[in-house]
Amino acid sequence: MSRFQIEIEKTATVWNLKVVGVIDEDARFEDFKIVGAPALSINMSQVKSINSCGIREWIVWIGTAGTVAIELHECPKVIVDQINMVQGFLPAHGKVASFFVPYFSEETGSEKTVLYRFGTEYSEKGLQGTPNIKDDSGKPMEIDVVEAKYFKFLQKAS
Amino acid sequence: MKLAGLRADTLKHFRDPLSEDFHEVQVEEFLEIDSVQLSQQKLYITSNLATADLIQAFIRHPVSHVVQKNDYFFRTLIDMGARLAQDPHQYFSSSGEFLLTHPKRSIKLEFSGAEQKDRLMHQCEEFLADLPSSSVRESARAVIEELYMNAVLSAPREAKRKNFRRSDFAPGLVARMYLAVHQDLLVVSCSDPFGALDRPKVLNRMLEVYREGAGEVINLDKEGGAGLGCVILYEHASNLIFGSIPEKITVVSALIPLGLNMKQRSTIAKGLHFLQPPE
Repeated sequence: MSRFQIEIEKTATVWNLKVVGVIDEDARFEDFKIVGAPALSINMSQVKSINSCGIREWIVWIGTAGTVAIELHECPKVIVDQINMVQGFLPAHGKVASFFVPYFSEETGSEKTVLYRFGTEYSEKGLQGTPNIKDDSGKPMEIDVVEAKYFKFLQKAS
Repeated sequence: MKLAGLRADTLKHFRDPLSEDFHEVQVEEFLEIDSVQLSQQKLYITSNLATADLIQAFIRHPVSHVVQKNDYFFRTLIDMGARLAQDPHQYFSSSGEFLLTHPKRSIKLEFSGAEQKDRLMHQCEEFLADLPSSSVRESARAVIEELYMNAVLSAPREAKRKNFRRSDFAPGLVARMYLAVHQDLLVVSCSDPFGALDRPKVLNRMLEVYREGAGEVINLDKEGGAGLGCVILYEHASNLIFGSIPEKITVVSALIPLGLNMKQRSTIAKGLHFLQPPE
């Protein structure tokens, strides 16, 4: 069974994609052609992991879409890390429509990821404040990343 | 141990039988990297040295061991650094197992080709499942991925480029992945049978990625790796240990802190060890 899959739903104005599984040296992006797409909306929530070869495969593949509008949705931390670390991972004409932020409770040790959405938690101007998140027992949780580093891509976009 | 230049807050970590076990190890502390000449024989201690500056120090000097202070497991790092400095042979002969003693649990897996990746990853994930932190499991997975790729793809390719006698996984040749959970740290260690690791090449590449940016220097050609693997290792681990005996073995190990949240782990200054082949 393939560890990597892209589900594609085409409409006249946008192709909706969902990337599923592990993006690594075996990920066959060439099986999922995006040349000619009017625009791309790519859901990343089901990406389990990405390694250094996978980063390369992704950059080459996303480049074949040309200069059409590209939106990435529900990016997990593994993808946000690459957006921040590797210039070109998010194309210049691409946009992050939503991404997950890890939270941690010092009291209970519990972890949670919270979805930040463009237009709500952030905008073209950057972060619009951080939501108050509580764990299952009602205790406050803190953002569990170095904010200047994790939200760096928002500064570049603004 | 022979101690030199240690500050009072550092010296307190050496005030017990630890020192007696490592008679030959010379330990020295420095504050400013530009003011010292680092040598191969010593275990160096410092603090707050940026990762890129640490790597540059390893390029400029024939240094083997640098440990950086932290509030969490500094004593464990001193112990490990002293063991590596005193007896590097054991790092190679044990494929990294002797880095930290008395693990709570460990696993050793052999593999020899790309077709075994699924099985390897599945077994590693089963081992990691008991770790309470999902972020640690995610980091461990990232480390295992890069170490696996190096052993199965990069190392044979480099061995072939160097015209080594063996440059593929002939029958009987295996790579090994070792995972161990200790009180403070998760050890992920990988050995391959090629010994093709090139210190200047690895360090210069890492520095290039840190200084110029991964996106600027990524290798987009189909041939070869992307050239980001070691930096990805360092993004997830607090300490890296490299060792290679040409045409025999390479062992690369990563230490991932346990019991800390991601933010705390991110703030830990990195340590680095690059072992010379035993004479």
